[in-house]
Amino acid sequence: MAAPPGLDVAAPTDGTLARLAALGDREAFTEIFHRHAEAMFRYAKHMLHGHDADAEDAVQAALVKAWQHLPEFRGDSALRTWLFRITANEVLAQRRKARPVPVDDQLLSPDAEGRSTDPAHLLLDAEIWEVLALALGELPWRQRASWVLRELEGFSYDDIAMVLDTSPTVVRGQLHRARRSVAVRMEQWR
Amino acid sequence: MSDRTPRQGPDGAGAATSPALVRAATQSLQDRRDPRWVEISDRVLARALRATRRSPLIRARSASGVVHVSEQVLVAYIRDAVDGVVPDAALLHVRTDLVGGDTLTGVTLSLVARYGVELLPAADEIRRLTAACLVEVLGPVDVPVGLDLLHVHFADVIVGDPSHSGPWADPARGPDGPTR
Repeated sequence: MAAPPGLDVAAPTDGTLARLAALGDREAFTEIFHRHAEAMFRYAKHMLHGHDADAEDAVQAALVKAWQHLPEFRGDSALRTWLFRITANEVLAQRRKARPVPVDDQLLSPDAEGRSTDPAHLLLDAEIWEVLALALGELPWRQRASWVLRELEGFSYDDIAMVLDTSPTVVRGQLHRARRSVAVRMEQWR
Repeated sequence: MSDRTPRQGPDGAGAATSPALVRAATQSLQDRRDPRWVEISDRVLARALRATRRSPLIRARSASGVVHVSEQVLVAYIRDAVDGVVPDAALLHVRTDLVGGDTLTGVTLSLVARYGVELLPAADEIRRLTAACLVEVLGPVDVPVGLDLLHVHFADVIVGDPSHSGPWADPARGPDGPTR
């Protein structure tokens, strides 16, 4: 039987790769890695204030867990969502291990004191993505996670809720606040 | 008003900010490839694949006596022997039954088949391939490799290519996990 129109038979779906990797197929896991690991690292890095080593440790631990537990993955969520949920938990563990970072919901309070970089100079010298990354770094944990998953990784509200172990309603609120804060911060630095 | 004072719109949501600025910054962040990832990705993958899955050991017999083989090894051999070899069927899951901790008493293969395929001949072929695989990996095991040991279960029949099937969803199992 011919493949249904529009189905790319050369590119297995994530589900197929998960099935094969669960049966011990390392090439399938390697393909999963190439599809998702870079985004997992990007998420970890944003959530760990740009620290390469911490992000690497978190993603490494997440991928080890993914490989070990793929036989238990039954496809209740998309593979990508499942991988990010593991990553989010490893990032939290890494954060607890590395240093306590107080949650600060007062994003817009003046925070120039103690900053080593002047935003005005920063904007002059930096790429625009660096300014955004800095703005993200000031967001409280859940707001930042919601923003990164939605705006950078394209997750749905439901999937973000699954990754962060919360409800879509909470995600909606966090995203609203995060977007507002990022917009204001970017405007301040323009 | 200082330069750092937020310029908010009537809804207090920073409406004075150019959405294009944030969009451009987001796009720029999305497009950027982290040089650190390029540097470490091969190492991260290799380490992940070196991790061992927990797996029971199965008693096997070699020329020099009794040895133990990880269930993972057996599953991998069965996967290679069956998946993609038997036309119009794809392997979903392999379950082994052990007594006394290490003696194999049963192997159950769960598969998905293409709608319309003759299931009994397919099951016979799968059983034959699996039996050969068991003898190859485990040697002359205590329980004879036959109908009593091998079970073939078609968990689903689908229209389309079964090799595109996703992971095995056993209702008896819990949710996806563990993620912690």
